[in-house]
Amino acid sequence: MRQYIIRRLFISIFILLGVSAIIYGLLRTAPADYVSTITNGIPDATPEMKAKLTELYGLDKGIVEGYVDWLSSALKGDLGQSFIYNKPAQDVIKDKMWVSFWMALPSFILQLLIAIPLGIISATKQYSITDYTVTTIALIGISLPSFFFAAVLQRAFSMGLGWFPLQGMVTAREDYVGFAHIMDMAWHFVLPITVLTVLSIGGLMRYSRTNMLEVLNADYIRTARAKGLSEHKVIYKHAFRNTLIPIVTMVGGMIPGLFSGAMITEGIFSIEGLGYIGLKALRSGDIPFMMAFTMFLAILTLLGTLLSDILYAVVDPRVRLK
Amino acid sequence: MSGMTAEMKKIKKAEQKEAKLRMKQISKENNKIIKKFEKEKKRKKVDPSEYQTTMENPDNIIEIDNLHTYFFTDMGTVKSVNGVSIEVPKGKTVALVGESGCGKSVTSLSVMKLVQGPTGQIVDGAIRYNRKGGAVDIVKTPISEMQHIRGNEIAMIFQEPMTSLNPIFTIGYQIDETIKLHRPDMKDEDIKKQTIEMLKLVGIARAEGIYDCYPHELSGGMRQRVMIAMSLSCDPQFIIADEPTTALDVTIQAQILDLLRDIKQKIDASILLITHDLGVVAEMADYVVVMYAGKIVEQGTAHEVFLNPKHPYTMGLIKSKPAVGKVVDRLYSIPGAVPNPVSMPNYCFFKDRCDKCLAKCNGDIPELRYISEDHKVACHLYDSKGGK
Amino acid sequence: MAEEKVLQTNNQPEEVANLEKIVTPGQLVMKRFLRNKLAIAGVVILVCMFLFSFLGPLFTSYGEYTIFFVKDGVEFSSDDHKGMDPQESGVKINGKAKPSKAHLLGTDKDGRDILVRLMYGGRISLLIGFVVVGLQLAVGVIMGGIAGYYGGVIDNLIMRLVDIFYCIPTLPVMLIVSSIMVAYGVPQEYKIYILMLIMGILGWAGVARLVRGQILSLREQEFMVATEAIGLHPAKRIMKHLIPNVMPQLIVIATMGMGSVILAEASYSYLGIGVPFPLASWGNMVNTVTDPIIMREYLNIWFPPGFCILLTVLGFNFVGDGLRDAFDPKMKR
Repeated sequence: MRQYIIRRLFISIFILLGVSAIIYGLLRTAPADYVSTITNGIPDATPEMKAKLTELYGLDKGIVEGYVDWLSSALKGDLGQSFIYNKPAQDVIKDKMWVSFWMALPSFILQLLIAIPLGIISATKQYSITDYTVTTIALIGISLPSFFFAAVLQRAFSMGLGWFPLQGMVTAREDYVGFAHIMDMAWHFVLPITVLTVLSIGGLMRYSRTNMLEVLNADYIRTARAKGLSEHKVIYKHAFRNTLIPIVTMVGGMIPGLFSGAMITEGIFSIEGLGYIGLKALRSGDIPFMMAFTMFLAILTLLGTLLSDILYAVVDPRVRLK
Repeated sequence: MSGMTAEMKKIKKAEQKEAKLRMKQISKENNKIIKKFEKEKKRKKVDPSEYQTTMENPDNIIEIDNLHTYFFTDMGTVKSVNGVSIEVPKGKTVALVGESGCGKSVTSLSVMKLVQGPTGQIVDGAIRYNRKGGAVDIVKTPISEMQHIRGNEIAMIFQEPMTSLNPIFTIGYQIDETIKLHRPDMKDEDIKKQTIEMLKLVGIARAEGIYDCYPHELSGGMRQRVMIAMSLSCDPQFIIADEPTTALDVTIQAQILDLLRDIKQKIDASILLITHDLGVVAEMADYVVVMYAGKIVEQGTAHEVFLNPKHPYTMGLIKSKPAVGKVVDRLYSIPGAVPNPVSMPNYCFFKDRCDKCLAKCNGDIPELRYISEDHKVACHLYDSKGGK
Repeated sequence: MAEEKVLQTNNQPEEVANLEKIVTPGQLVMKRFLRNKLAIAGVVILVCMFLFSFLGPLFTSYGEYTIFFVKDGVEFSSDDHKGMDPQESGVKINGKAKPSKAHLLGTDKDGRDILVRLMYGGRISLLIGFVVVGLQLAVGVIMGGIAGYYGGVIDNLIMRLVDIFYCIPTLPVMLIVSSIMVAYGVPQEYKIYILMLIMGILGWAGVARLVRGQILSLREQEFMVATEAIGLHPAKRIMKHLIPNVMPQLIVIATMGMGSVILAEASYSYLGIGVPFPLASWGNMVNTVTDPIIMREYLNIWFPPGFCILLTVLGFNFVGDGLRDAFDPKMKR
């Protein structure tokens, strides 16, 4: 097990090198005067700042040399200075990822509470009206464009009915503290969380359904019936416990992703999470932040797969990782 | 030439169109039928008088009477079990023999009411079970009542030991569960004790160690022993062993058979042994039933059927088994193949593969008749000899 | 009583006689597919969308970029001036017009007919979907095929490459690419090709993984050993014996992939890094919703394109889901 994790971490480093090289290479395909192009939008960009940027990113050097430079400082924990926030990029990420997390977490929990039971019910009643309804809802969720659904919700519930605020994280001009502050934020988070939940329910629901169907066809389910177990016990003990293995694996892999932020949804609702910040930085060509941000996302993806592999070994008695 | 192929294509196309239409029709009919049976099965609170019955012979444990189990597939109705009658006397072993797909397993699953729904349904017949509190007809018994019978009074050993145990529960847990379910008053320690005793009974030496093992940690033979232990755990009156040795390699097969024979002597249960291995039959069975394409073709005491096979199919089966000390150039094989299960002919099912055909064989399907006191056969060859 | 009736209705031996021989496996798949009501709904949606996008423009005289003007209640367009001059004073752009007979869904803020732009937007979305999925499949099948077939070091290398591409976050990369294109001053009309290329390159990893996995398990099977024994050329073995066996899964992920590519393209266009204005795309049409007045007052401008995206993607997902069930031999229905 430990050996397996070490090997996986080793591979992960290799993958991260690959990702960073590709992103860096991509950034370097920009024309030589890229810095001046991007700093054009920033009125207070001084010539020194431009020079510093050019130097910092090795834009004055060859592509290989520049990459090695970036890499060595990155290994020292310096991912560069985000110039729109004027702070080290890693600090910006550290600050903002928690906002994204607190928005993603309730949505994640809701998703589990809704998707897994619906998927299981849908599988046990295969081809019934319930199954068709659940499948349709799931597929609509998968097919909804986030920006469109967000717009519909905003139009209906904040503009139309006035139940929820249109944008933002807190009510401006009201300095709530303590519990009131939290409630205010929760109130602002209702619509974005709805968007995130509805959009992501479908995948997990279908996954639960498919796995449950597979388990229900297994021989050991017939054995369980032959023992004289009631249908309820057969499904919710013998079948469900087996279905849980792939579900836990998948769900575990989703946890790191909670920090990654939802660029479009956060952008629309002006939630200052990582996604919103990332979008802004990318729009204004904040190269250091871009590098740091993409690397952060890549690390989260890798952590997700690693976590789901480890969980697989923990939950399934048959698996011994080598 | 090209005209021909065009013509043929046209015919083929027409045929396929026809087939499509036919398939649509079939599935529509099937849906109706399936719905009806499923509704019947799901009924709750059935009055016991509806499924109570009396045994024809109180010395039998099971009487399968004219059982029909069909599968309503899109290709048409597959009559897997088509009018089968078997009696299992108390304390005896009956072997059900036939090639793959002849309906042996479906017959046994029907007894447990475990036929894979919704396509598979018992459409007709009775399965009378001599229960301690009074005989019941399993076909009419609701699932809720079957759950008291399954695993407790009638137990089943399946063909695939590798996949028949739940991979995420320990062996001990899975056997405990069965006992706990049917003996709710037993204390946990007693249950564990009995489980370990059962494991020892099936010849597992390290029973305490195996108790905490997961199925994947055991070999196929061991798993089949565990399955047998599980089936014996509630002291059933009737055990169905559905090809218990097929999935195992030859040396292990012998061990498991020894075990079954051993157990048969130790416990006082009747066994329905399903197999296509005639060697197994000769060693274990008191009675033999030979099935072919969903029907019984020959039935009698093991002694009679082996030494004096009457049906050409049984003869073929016996001939195609290699025997030590007999010199043959080539092992006999029955020519031809089993007829299409969807569209059975309306004459003897075996006619097309039979080398002893009479003119009569083109006529009605032969009925199962007594040719001697303990021997029945369904073949026109013996029409005159047997009489009614 | 009722049971007897059952036996009779199903006793038609001559008719069913050779049904099993006539029916091809393809027909069986087809039949399972057609029985799935959702899949049929998906097909209907897609057919309607295709007809709407590709044939729709033939039934209207308005073009994608036609701008409508209005003077004293009389409307004329940039295509057909009707003797009036757009530069004339008193002429106004007929923007944000409410739905009317002339403009069934009204006009957008620049005075273009929304219904017509929906059709052209659909063309672009579907086209991008096909091209990108085609690209992903081509690269994915080749890479996955090579990795699975040869195994060893080659497999290891390709799979690490797959891992790398799997980890690259798509949206940030698209944003970077878009800003680079701006920096280079890439003409608007080429942007869309680069967009498709990048989307194709970023999306092949999943396909490659699937193909490799399938091939690894197929390679162990007897019929593959047989093809080796008769000495078939590797290229032929891959193309003739391996790929056809992976085909069902490929068709399913291609169909589902169409949906997700269209969704992704819509998001990019919404963010302004996808299909560039003035080309119509459903995504950039929904983008007008960022104007609160349009969001509140002009549902006819932003709702229809968003709904089109939803319908089209849903159509592909319904069909893909139905195909997956239909191809699955374990499905006993």
